[in-house]
Amino acid sequence: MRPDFLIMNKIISIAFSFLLLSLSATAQQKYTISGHIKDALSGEDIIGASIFAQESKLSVAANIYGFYSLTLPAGKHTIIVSNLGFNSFTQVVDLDKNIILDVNMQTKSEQLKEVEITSEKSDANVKDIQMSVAKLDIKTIQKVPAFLGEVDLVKVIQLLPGVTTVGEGASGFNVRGGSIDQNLVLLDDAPVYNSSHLFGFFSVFNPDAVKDVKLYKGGIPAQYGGRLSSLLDVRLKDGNNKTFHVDGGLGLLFSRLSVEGPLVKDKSSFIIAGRRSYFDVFFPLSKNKDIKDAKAYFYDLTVKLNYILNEKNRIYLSGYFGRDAFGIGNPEFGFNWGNSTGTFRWNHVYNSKLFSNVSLIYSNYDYQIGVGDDYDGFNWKSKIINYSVKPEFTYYLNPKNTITFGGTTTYYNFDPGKLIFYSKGEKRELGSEPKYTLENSLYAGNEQIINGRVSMQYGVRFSNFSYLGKGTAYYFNDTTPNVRRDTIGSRTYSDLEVIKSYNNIEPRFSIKFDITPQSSLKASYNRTTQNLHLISNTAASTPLDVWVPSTNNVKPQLADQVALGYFRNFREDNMYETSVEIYYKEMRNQVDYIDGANLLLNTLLEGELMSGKGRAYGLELYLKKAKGDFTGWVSYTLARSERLVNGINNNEWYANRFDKLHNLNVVGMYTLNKRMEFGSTFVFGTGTPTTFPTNRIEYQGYVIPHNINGYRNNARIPAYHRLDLSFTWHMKDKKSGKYKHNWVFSAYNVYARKNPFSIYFRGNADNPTVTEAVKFSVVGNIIPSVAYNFKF
Amino acid sequence: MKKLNTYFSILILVFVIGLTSCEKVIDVDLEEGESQLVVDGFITFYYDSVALKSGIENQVIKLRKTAAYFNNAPAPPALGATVKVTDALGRTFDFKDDNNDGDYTYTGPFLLSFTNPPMGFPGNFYQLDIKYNGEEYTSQAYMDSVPRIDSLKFIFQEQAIQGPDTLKAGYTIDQLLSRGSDGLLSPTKDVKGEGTCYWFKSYRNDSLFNNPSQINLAYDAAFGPGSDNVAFIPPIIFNLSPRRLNLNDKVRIECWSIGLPAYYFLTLAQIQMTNEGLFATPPSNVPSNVTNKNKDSKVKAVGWFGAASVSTITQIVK
Repeated sequence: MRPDFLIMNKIISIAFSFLLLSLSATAQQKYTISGHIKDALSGEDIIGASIFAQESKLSVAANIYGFYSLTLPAGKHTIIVSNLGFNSFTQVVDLDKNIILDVNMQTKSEQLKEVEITSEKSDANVKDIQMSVAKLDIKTIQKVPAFLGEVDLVKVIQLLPGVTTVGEGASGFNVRGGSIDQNLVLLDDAPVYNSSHLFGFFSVFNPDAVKDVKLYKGGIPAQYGGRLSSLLDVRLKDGNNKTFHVDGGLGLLFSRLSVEGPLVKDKSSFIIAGRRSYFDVFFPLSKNKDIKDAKAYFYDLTVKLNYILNEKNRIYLSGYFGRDAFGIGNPEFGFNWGNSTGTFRWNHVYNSKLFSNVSLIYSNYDYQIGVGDDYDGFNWKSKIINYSVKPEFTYYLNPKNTITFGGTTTYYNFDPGKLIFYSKGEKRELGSEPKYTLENSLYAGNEQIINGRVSMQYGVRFSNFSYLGKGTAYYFNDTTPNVRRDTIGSRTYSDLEVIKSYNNIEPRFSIKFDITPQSSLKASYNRTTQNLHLISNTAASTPLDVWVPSTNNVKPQLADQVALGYFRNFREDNMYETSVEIYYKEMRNQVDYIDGANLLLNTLLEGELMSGKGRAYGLELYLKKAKGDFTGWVSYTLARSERLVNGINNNEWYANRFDKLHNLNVVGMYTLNKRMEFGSTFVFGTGTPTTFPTNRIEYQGYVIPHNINGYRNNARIPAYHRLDLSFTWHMKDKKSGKYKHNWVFSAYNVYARKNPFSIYFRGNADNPTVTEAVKFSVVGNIIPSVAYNFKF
Repeated sequence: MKKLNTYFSILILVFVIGLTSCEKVIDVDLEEGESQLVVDGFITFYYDSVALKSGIENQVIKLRKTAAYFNNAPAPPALGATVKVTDALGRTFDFKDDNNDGDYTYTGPFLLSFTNPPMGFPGNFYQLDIKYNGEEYTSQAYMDSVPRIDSLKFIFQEQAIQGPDTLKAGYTIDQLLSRGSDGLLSPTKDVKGEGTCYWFKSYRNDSLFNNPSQINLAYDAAFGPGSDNVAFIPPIIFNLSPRRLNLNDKVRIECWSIGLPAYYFLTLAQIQMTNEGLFATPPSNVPSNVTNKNKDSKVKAVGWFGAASVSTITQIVK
């Protein structure tokens, strides 16, 4: 028996004994109160509101669909529903049967709401079992000074402890020393494979359509799986089901517009939000013919509909469609890429204790590059598509146990890249054939309150991943590490024939001890596995990078993470939140590349890959001021992320490309009065590792850089630091008071530091044998910007 | 209208200068590693559309030493080496450094008979043996065939924006042409057989376009398997004229059939020499096909020994 199964057995038996323990306590007659918590003004579900039964001191939080269920002894109970930003709701109920109580919460005065930093109840950071989690609401995201004035949630996430980036223009983010493909980015449950527009400058999420953002860096609940390092859960707004609203903005780079409103009042609503860049609008004015006909734009469209069929059934349909396109020249050289996702969800309340959600999910990422026609030209395409079915259940067994279980089945279709070209009318094709995989997973978990001070969350996830035909599996020789491996054979498989299959068991565990009402200690352990690998060997991920599945040659990535945290709030109103977390993460089967790997359009790509170990550890400090005129946070991370790959750096641990020892983020927001707000951000990070040459090889009149030891990451680029400022001026409302608008003035990189993205070595343009070192800064100047936003 | 044009220029300025890249040459202290032997040489065979000069040119193998990366003096020669090349016919050719400059040269005799062909011919195989500083090195290379190029077709291009250097209007090479057995010119095709690889060198008025970004490589007729025996695809043809040409410029194109291993080597070398910007790959050493005969020796050579058949065409832009 594999050790995994032993661990699993142990966990299951522990879980059952806890369950039995809690069940044995149930003797008295009990009833369940359940329902949905909504915003009275917009009809939006409120995620995470607290439902508290005063007499029995029992509480529960509303789930992501605003549903709650609380089982209480028969009799009178005072139910208090509270959520930050809303007036608390109190009602006395007499429980003599199961009842449904839907609550519409009234917003507190606008002024107050504006300055709050999250919509969570104010002591959630201490009271929740979850650790290593960051919640951001869209109001906070909008206040942080933004690059070119464009609100971007991924950029704000990078200001949180444990989250870093390799630099401006780099897409994605690194969580606790993991690579960017180790983040599962979900948009209404649909995975987003490339979360960037314009290479990496902007993220694909339209802030006008986003309701809630949650980042899990560790202690990931059993219901989520598929990536090693983190889960970024982005939830879209449902749309106001009472009245129509329009939100919009004009920025330097793009403009946004969103409309939301009821389809059937109180029953059904929609939101449709679009963005488009407009620098290409001016192209036709150019005298230059090539610019005149050039294409350069990106857009995205986010749509969501929901319908409350009845008290027990509700359906949601959401979709995202975005694309970046560039084209220039005659014949036109064109390049475009984009994601599209679709999610259909059906919420069903079986009874007051059993809630379910079934999602059907589609996600697609594709790109194509082409020039010319079918006489002389080429067209290069690549894509990844997945189709998933995901039933999820929550069983509110009793106030002390909330059980979740479910599963996912996903079918993937990978097209790692195919080039079709025509040369004087003759057609040829190159590249790899498509790959097909099926991933099935099952999970079960329980959130259990042991007593007034201790609660825990535990669960297990089982996943089976199969690499299927039709396709050709290649087998490679074992050669010197860090040298291209040659094929020793191949075998062709027919449709749906299993080429290789992997099973993995992922235990998850979190525990919380309350030390005082305002402080707690939390610990967590989780194992995660990953069967999709982003093949990318560049400093910044490019839209050309391809996803490949685990195969007979590429094993699933595995990670084990332990984390320990201390959470403490100060002042009675929880004005200050602080936390200290430490983590240690070990990763196996990390994908690495041989020197000079050829990763694009390569049928024998797997011969270019190596497998290694990773380890990451760190300390995260966080201080947040959540309330008042002045809000903000300071986060500091001390961390290491290292690799060990046979054949690299004398088989010794070495720093990863995104290793940064120190990371400091200071975010401050100040509301001067009803009309004026200020925001500022300061970031500091240790320079990332890089490789410098020691010698030069003169060859055929060229100078090739050479490192005598062949060491990777033997040097570091200088540290990164930057200050951004913003000023928001809210305009006086028109007579009706309905039309609100504001101007946002911001400056990025205020003191115009030329932060290095990389340092590289080259021959001088006039004389290639004269060598020089070049510092490359993506942003080399202060970038002022202005944006106008409106709402009615 | 004028105002909008100004606005457009500002936008371009914002995006190109203010926002995107900013490059600055800086001083960096680098460690210097021990010096290593560099092998730099191709055994060649020249086809020329005017006259068949095959095999009567000197064969040269340069031996140099690596230097500190920022040492811009010419690479120090590796002197006092013994250099021999043995071919598939069992003949051994001695290469001598008569000028004491590290250019080890075979100066003849050049034999031109059917039973004793010249040293360089397609299909021949070469083994290089070097004795230097008490170490013995060896390497092998195979000479592939090359398509003959009989003519260049030029085309006039309007002003374009593909890069600041190509902004102005001028001529570019539109096609490479070869004369078929019927005497008609048609686009030059890759030699039949998977994995024939080429290095195109372009000269304008006897000066080589020598920027590393202008190294123009082809795998068959494109950049990878699956493109055998068709006409060279447009990107390769575009790259033949990295700058716009003027009327009456003298253009020379050399097509070096270098073989697959050298193609990989040069591809990697080019990546390392042009590894700039946002999407740079991690720097790594280029491989070498020159090995120390004593596998346990820590002394390694770098560089590449190759063999290439070369076709050339020189033509005036008209």
